[in-house]
Amino acid sequence: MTRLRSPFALVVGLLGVLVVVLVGYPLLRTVGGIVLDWSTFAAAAEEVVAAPNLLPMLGSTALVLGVSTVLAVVIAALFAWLSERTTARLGWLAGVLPVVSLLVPSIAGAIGWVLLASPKAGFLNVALRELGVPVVLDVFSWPGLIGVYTLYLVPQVYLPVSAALADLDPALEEAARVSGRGPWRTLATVTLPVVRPAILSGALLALVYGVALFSVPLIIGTQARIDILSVEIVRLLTTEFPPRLPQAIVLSVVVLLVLGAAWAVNARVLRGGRFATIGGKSTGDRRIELGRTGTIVTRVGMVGYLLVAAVLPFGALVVVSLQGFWSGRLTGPFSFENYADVFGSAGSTFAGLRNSLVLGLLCATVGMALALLLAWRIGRGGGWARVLDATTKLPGALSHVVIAVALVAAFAGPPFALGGSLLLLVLAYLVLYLPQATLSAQSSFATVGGELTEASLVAGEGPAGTLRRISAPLMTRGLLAGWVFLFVLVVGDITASAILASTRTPVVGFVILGLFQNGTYPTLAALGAIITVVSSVVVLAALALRRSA
Amino acid sequence: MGAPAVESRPGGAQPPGGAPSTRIAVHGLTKTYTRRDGTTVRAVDDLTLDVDAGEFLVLLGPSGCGKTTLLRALAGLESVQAGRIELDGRLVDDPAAKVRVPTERRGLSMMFQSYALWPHKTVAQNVEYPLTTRRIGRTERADRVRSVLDAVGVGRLAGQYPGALSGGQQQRVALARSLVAGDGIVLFDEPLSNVDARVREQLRTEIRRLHTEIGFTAVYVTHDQEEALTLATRLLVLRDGRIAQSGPPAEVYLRPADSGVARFMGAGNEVTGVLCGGVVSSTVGSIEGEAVPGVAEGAEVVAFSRPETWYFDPPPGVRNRWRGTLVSTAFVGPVSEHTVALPGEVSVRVRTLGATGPDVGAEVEVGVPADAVRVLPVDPT
Repeated sequence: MTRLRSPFALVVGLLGVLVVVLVGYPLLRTVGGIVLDWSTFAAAAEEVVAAPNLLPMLGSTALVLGVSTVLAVVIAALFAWLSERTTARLGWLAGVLPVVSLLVPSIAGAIGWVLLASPKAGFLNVALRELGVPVVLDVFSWPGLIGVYTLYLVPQVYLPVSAALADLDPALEEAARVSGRGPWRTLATVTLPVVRPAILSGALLALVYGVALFSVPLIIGTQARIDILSVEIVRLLTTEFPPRLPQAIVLSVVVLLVLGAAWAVNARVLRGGRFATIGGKSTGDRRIELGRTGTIVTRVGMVGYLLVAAVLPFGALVVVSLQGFWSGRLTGPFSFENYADVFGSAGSTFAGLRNSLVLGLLCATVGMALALLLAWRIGRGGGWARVLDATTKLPGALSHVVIAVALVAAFAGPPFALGGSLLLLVLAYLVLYLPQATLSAQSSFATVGGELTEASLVAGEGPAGTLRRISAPLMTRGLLAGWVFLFVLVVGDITASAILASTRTPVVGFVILGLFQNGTYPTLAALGAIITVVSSVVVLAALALRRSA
Repeated sequence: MGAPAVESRPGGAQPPGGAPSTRIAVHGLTKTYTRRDGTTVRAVDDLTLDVDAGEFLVLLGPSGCGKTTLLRALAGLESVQAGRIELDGRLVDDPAAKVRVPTERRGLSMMFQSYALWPHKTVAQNVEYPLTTRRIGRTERADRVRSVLDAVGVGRLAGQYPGALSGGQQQRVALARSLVAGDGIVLFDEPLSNVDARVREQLRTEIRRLHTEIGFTAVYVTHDQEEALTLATRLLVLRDGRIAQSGPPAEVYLRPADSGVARFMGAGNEVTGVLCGGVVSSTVGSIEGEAVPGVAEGAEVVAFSRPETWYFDPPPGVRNRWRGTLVSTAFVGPVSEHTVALPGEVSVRVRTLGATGPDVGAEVEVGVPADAVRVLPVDPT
C-alpha cells in the first residue's frame, strides 16, 4: 500500500505495534508461563482448590456481585427511563448521575460509609441513638456490603441505558399508548424490551467493574468477614511473602472464565436480533407525563440516591478530617491539622498524593495523544485497524485485577525488572484505561469524520496534515473530556496501585491502604476528601465545558 | 470580476495544436461491494469514459446507479477492483499495476453534499485551505480568495465562521472553495440537494456562469433531471453501474436510447405495439416514428413521445393523428396537461402553454409529428 509509506503513518504504525505488544505480551506471557511451567501451576491450582476457604469465598463473591448487579440494573434502568423519557427529568442530575463514581472515588466512598454506618461510632447510628430510635445500621454486613457495591455499579449501567433511551424513537412508545397501555405497561412491554441490548451490556460492564472492585470489599468486607475474590488475589501478591504469583494467576483464570461466559451469553442474546428498532432520530421533547406526585417521588428518589452515593459519604469524610479523632458526633474542636499532616508529613502520604497527581497528568496526556493516533489509524480501516481496535478494547473486557497480575508476571521480574518502579505504574495505567481513552477519541472522530476530512484530502492535504489542521482542532472538546476521564481514573485507581506500587513509589491508592491498615481515620478522611475534591472539580469543570459547547 | 489565475499543474498542459485535451480518462472501471448477506453488488461495472478539458459532464441516474461511487473513485476516496483512471495523462488508479495515488496527490477540487465547511476556520480560511497545500505565496493566496469569494457573491462574509451563515451562503462558500484552485478538475457530489428550490435555481445559474468564465472541467453528480439538463454540456445517464446513454442534454431528452432513459428524463406517452413495415402497429392504429438502431422488424416496441410535442388540431403534414375525448385537464402554472382517451384503450397526455386548451368532455383531434416519436425496445436491459 503506497499510502502507508509516509513518515507519519510509519510512526503511528510503530506506536500501534508497541501498544499491541504492551497489551498482548503480559497476557501471552502469563498464559505461556502456565503452559511452560505446568507442574508449578498444577500444584498451585491444587493448593487453591484444596484451600478450605475457596468455596465460601467464591460463593460470597458470586452472591455479592450477583445481587448488587441486579439491584444496579433495576435502579439504573429506572433512573435512566425517568430522566430520558418522562417529564420528571432533572437536567443537571441526568448529567451528574453517570459520573458519581468519578466524583467520589470508590476508596473515598467506602471509607465515607464506614464513617457513616459503622455500628458504634457511625454518624448515622450516633444520630439514631440520640433520637431514641432503636435501629442500628451496620455497614459491616451483607446488606451493607451489597449496598455500597450497588452504589458503584449503578453508573456503569446508567450510561449505556440512558444513551439507548435517548435515541429511542418516541413513536414506538406512542404506538403502545394509543393501543391502550398506560405508562408503566408501556415501559414494561415496549421500552425496556427494545433497549434490552443496552441493559445487558450495562449489566456486563457492571460485572466487569464489580469483579475488579477492590476498595469496597477490602474496607467493608474484611471487617464483615466476607471474603471476596479481588481482595484475595491482591493479598496473595502483596501481603504474602514471597508473593504467591502462581496462586494469584490461578484465581485470575477463574475470573476470566466467569467473564468469558458472561460475554458469550451477551453475544448470544444480541445475535437473536429483533433489537434493530432504535431509530437515529432525535426525540424532540415528546415525553411521558408523570403527573405531580410522580414527579415529586422521582425527584426525591434521585436526589436521595445522590445523597447516599456522594454527598453523605463526602460529608462524613470532611467532618472527620477536621476532627482530632473520629467520635461519630458533629462536634469540635475542628482544625486543619490532619491536612497539615497530609501535606507536611515526612512520610509517604504527601509523596503518594504528589505521585498520583503527576502520574494522572502524565498518563492522561500520553494516553489521550496515543488514543488520538490509534483512533486515527483505526478509522483508516483494514485488517490491522481491526486488530488495533480489538486490542485497545481488550483491557476493558478483562478485569483490572487480571491485567495487573499479568503485568506483574510479565514485567516485574527479569529481564525487565520493573517491579516497584514508577514506569510499571505508568504502563499499567496506560493499559488499564486504554479502552476508555480510545473509545472517547474514536467517538470524537466519528463526529468530525466523513466529508469534513475528505474535503481536506481533496484540497491536497495529506493524512497527517488533515489530522493536525482539521480533525484534531475540531475534536478539542472531546479529547479534553477524555483527558479528564483518564486523569480522574488514574488518580482514583486503587486496584493496580495496590498490586504495583511500593513504599518507594507510593501513590494515593497505596497510601490509603496503609492508613486504613493502621486505623488512622482522620488522616485517611483528609486524604479521601482531597482526592474527592480534586476529582469532582476536574469532572464538573469538564461537564460545564461540554454543556457550553 | 477577474477569473482566478490559472494554476499550472503537472501534466495538465494543453497539447500543441489547441485540440481539447482529455483531462479524465476512465477505462474498464469496476467497483463491487459485498453486502452483509454475502451477495455482490457491482456499483460501477466495467465503465469506460473520457472527459475533455472544459466539459461540464453531469452524471445522472436513480439512487444506487453508481454515480456517486464513480465520482468518489475519481477523487480516490473509494478504491476500485479493476480498471484504470488517468487524470491529465497521469495514471492515478490501476489495481492491476498496484497504482493508487492517494486523494491528496490528485490535484482535484470537490464540492460536497454536506458543504463540509470546517467550523473552526473562517470563510476566508476555508477557501484558502486548498491553496496552502499548493505552494502559493501569501499575497497571491489572499488575492485569489478575495476574487473567488466576490465571484460567488459572498465577499463580505470572509471573516465569518460557517456556523453564522445561512444554508445558501454556506453553499456559496463551499462553491468558492472548490473553484479557488483555478482551471482544474472540479467534482460536484449532489451539491444542491440540501437547499430550497429558489436558492437551488440561483446557484445553478451561477455555477453555469462561473463555468463559462473560469473554464474548469466539471464532473457533476445529481439525481435531478432538470438540474442535469440545465448544467450539462454532456449528460451521462447511469444505470446499474453502466452507461445507459451519453450525449448532449437535448439529445438524451428528445432521443432517448431506451425506455428506461426515456422515463427517467421526464413524462412521456407510451404506446406498445409491434414494429411492422417501419411503423408501429398498435391498438390505436399505425404510429410513425424513428426507431433506435438495432430494433428488428416484428419486435415488440414502445412508441415514446413527450406530451409537449403533441398538438390539438395538428397541422396538415402530421400523419400520426387520431380523434378522441378530452378526459381531464390539470393546470400546473406554465402549462396545462390534458389527458385524452383514444380508441383502442390508449390514453395520451397533451401539454399546452398556460391555461389554454379545449373543454373537458369535448371531442378533439390530437397528433404528434413522426420525428418526435422514438420507437424503443420494450425492455431497456
